Amino acid sequence: MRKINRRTVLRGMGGISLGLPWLEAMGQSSFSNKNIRLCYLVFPNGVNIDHWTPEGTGSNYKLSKTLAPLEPIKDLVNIHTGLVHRAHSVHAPGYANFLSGVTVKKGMGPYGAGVSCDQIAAQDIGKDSYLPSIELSVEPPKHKGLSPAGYNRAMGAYISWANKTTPVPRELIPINAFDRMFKGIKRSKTTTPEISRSILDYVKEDALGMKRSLGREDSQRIQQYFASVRALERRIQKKHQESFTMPKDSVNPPAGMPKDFESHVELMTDIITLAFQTNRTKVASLMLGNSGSFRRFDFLDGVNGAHHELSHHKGNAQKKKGYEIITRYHVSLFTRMIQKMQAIQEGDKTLLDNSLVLFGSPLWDGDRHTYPQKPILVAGKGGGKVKTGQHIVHRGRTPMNNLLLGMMQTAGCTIKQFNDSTGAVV
Amino acid sequence: MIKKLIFICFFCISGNAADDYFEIVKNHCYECHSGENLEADLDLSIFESQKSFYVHFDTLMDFHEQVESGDMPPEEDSKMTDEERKTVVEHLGKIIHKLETTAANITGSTVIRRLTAYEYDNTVKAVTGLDLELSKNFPADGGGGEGFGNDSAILGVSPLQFERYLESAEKISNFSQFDMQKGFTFSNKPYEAKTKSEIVDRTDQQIRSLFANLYPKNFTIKRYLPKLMLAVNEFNLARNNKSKLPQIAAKYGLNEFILIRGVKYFSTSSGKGIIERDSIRPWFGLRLEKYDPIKAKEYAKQFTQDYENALEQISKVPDIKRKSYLDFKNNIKAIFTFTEAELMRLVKKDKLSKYLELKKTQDLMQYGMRSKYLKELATPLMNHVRNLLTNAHRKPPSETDVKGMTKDMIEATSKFGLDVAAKILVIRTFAHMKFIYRHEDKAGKPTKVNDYELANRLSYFIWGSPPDKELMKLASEKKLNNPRTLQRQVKRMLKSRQSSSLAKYFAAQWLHFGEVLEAQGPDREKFPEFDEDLAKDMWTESALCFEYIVKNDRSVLEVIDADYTFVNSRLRKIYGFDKGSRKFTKITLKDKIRGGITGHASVLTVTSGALRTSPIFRGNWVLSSLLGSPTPPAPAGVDPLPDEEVISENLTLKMQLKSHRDLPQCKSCHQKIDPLGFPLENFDPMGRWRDKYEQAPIDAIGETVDGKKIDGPIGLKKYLLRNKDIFLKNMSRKLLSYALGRSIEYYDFYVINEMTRELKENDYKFSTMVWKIVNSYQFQHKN
Repeated sequence: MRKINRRTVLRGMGGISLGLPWLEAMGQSSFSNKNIRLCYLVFPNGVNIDHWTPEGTGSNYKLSKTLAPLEPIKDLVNIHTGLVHRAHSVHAPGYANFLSGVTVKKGMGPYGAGVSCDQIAAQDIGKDSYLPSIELSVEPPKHKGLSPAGYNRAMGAYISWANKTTPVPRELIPINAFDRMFKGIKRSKTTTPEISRSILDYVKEDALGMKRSLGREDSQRIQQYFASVRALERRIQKKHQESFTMPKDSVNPPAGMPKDFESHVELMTDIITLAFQTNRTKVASLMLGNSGSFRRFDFLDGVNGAHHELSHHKGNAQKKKGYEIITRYHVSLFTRMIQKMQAIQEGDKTLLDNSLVLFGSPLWDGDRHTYPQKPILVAGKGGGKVKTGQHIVHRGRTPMNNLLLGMMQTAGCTIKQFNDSTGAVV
Repeated sequence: MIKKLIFICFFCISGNAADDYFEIVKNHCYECHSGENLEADLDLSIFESQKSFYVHFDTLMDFHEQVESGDMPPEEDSKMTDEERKTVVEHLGKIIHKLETTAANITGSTVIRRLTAYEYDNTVKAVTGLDLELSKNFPADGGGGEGFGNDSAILGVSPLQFERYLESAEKISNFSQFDMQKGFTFSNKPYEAKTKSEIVDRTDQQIRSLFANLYPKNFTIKRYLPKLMLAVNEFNLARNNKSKLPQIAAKYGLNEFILIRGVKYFSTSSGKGIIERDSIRPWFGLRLEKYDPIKAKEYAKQFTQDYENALEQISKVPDIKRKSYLDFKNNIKAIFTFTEAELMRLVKKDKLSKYLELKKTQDLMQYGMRSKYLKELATPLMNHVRNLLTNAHRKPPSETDVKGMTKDMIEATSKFGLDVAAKILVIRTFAHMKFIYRHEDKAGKPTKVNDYELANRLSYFIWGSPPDKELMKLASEKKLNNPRTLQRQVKRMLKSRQSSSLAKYFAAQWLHFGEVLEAQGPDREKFPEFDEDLAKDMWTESALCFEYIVKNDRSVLEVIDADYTFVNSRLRKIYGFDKGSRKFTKITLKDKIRGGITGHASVLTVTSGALRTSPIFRGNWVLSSLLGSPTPPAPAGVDPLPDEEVISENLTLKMQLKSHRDLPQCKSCHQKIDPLGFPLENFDPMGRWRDKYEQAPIDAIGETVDGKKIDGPIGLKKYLLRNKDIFLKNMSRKLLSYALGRSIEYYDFYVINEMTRELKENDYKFSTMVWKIVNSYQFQHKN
């Protein structure tokens, strides 16, 4: 693979454990089971099915070619085989329902997906955090219009959904995500906290005024706006209550859009790691590409073409090879994130021990657009409740929502049932 | 009510014919298109409910077309007799005809929508005159409905977006300034809001300059404080002999009034008690003692230094201390300030009124609500607030809003001073839902929009910007609803520079040429000529061509075929034209290869793979963007779009596709897509002409299902022009969707049909479409 000069937020942590200064001040008690972090990573275009599934089950299994990069973290991750969403999951709708499994509405009208599990967790265990959740991506929403299958292609740019019709916009520029998480609202010099307070009061008052003047048709919009004002208000209050210490070796991300994919992904995963470490948020989602992404991976040896193009290999050996290399490369990026999380101590555990990080794709066979199961990995021990190092094979079309539910419950969410779930697994 | 009427009409159509129809469809179609395993994700059982004819109107039309053309059901699966086919086609045709020819007069969703990123920037620019490009930090908008980013369905506000809006509002406020005379103004230079005391000082300066003749040149308190003290000393030495006063005052360049107050101040105890010991040395002053002039000079110098120190400390000391510092400062200042009574005697009346005005402002700045002038000041202040809100919210605000916000501003003034209060008001205005959203007063039932709302709908449709002064003026006079005025305005708007927004936002999204700026484009190694600049040029050609049609009210068929285009030197090279101007110029074309969107490098690039062209992508683009009929999804297990030529594998792409098309499950779509893509094979992945591809001659002939040949790019244009009705209908649909900011529903097809019809009657002039939309029930009504 090509050597590039990576730009990172967590300096000096490229896989080697440095043991960041842990925030002892926060005390052991704050890292009980109540402090489990949830992270959801999605990658586009499915997998080359010849090389994904490992041989053997349980803890006695052999990593497949695509999953080979997991070797150094094999003990820290579970491979789930056989989990399904019953609803149509090809490209755009597959993204829209990746974290909910609901049937997505067709047509050009308003979107119709379901509330995603990260947003449910954000409203539950995340509601007292500085930010209930963060949503990140490394590719701007591009696709527009109706897909050949009759779905609004724009949905393929979102995996986090606040409600049926509202995708949560994702942050694309690392410095913006970083500043929002760690620096709060950007203010000019003259705006003292007192002035800032009264600005928000006035804005809130105006929003209330709008509530009275708008019609029924608009009630959802005004509620959404009002909730956004309230969310900011809570954040500002929290900022005064909670102090946090940035790890010494963290650095600010560069301004603007990173030019290369690898830096971009690493900056984003670092920001998530740092946000988890400093307890600024407990829930995060990151998209490594839009559905059906055409990103070119020519910088990888043996790859010649765009991701989506290669996924439709139609048996062409050269394409199949490139397709596999791209997915393997994504697995290596995931591995790097997990290693960094594992390197951070939290008392006698690590940050990863206190997390659950899902990594997967809505499609199974990108070539044939099938989704009889999903390629899914979950790293982290969820506070000790999860036994890792397993290849878990689920039988009888087990709903993927069982896993999503299990993850939420492990993290302390009160939810009992999640869409078509028939039980909870982790 | 209207809905119900149409409903009844359908039942009229139903009856026996409907029974027959259901029987046939059940027999021939349900096996694949109902129940669990749906082919093409199409469930025809939805049409068992009459209501679905509305809800799934698009599907209904597609269904109709597939059966009519004989594409469905596939011969291999089910043999439908001609008689049966006729029954189904006629039944569906009647329903479609009814919908398309009945004015439903339904508004559709008019849910409040926020400004898109570009509308936001344009609106900030229109209100402030500043090009701040704030939206570049917003999370990107998705694409909704018919593929346009301005679809209300997707335009809500999330917490992240709200934060960005608030931050942006604050950025805007940094460029604003408030002044009682001019109101809220914006300028390029950031203006740092001054604290309360800084502003009071500023007005002092203004007052003093008003009475420049009463003060010596270069007057500052600092300079004249020691002079005053020496004068007081001299007066004391002269045993307070009043007759000496004018003489002493003149000697020190002071006005007598000032000297009298100086004597009063420095000769009583008031000067002593308020002095802070740690920064101002006690001045036992000239109170009783009399000093020799040399000692007095030293003391005066000392005191002036102390006074300056006190000023410097004011902003730094805690609140309690600050009060005594301020009192001290104000007392000294008061000595040097003429009272109203004094001024009455000293100056002319006109200056006096100006002075009073300033004084009132100063009072307001200092005390806000408590000002005795409040009653008088409230009116001009309210006017300024009203102006700002009218501009920023694109319509006159309610008086309750104006009063409330003015009151809040006065309150904030007493807390933070006028500058900060004005800043807060500006932030509030730009973070307001009425700024972020396009707000219309709700009626609770379908109602005609008022003049201001019409002005807004017009300007955001044609300009992507808020209404200009002329539109706002007409709206305020309630004249915009007058058909003649309206027509004049629409003409003016289409001719204006700002109508380029229709090219930049409407056409770029409709025809997908906008994507050339975002797409990765062809492989840079194989196509080193391609770079971001060239991509921008490609975009510019397409945008300029559309803009030309709009501004000159040309035939919309020029989208397909025109004898002109716009090129610069870089594009000339790509197109193999003679060298010419570096800048974009309109040129007349010698042949019909370019001219018309199918010959534009922009779309030819967007519809290509990185290394090779893709007749499938191109065919699908022609079919869906120009003709408006997207293909159904490929059946399960079949790749929907074989994506590139594989000449090396013994089979040309065409042969490969042919074999593909022979499969029954692929046939119905690919026999439509392929023939529209192949004619463009003469264009390489970045739109350059080619006769050969890897030594093999290009085969640019597409064969339609009825055996007709489409030969090359010129043949494709001819084909499209032959099918212009379909093109016109699709373009009408897209423009209507863009204008309404929502997806198209069954009740919109009447307008679309009318647009298409009138286009044909009016030489296909672009303005015909706009005029029809502007006059439609949908465009003029809200819920």
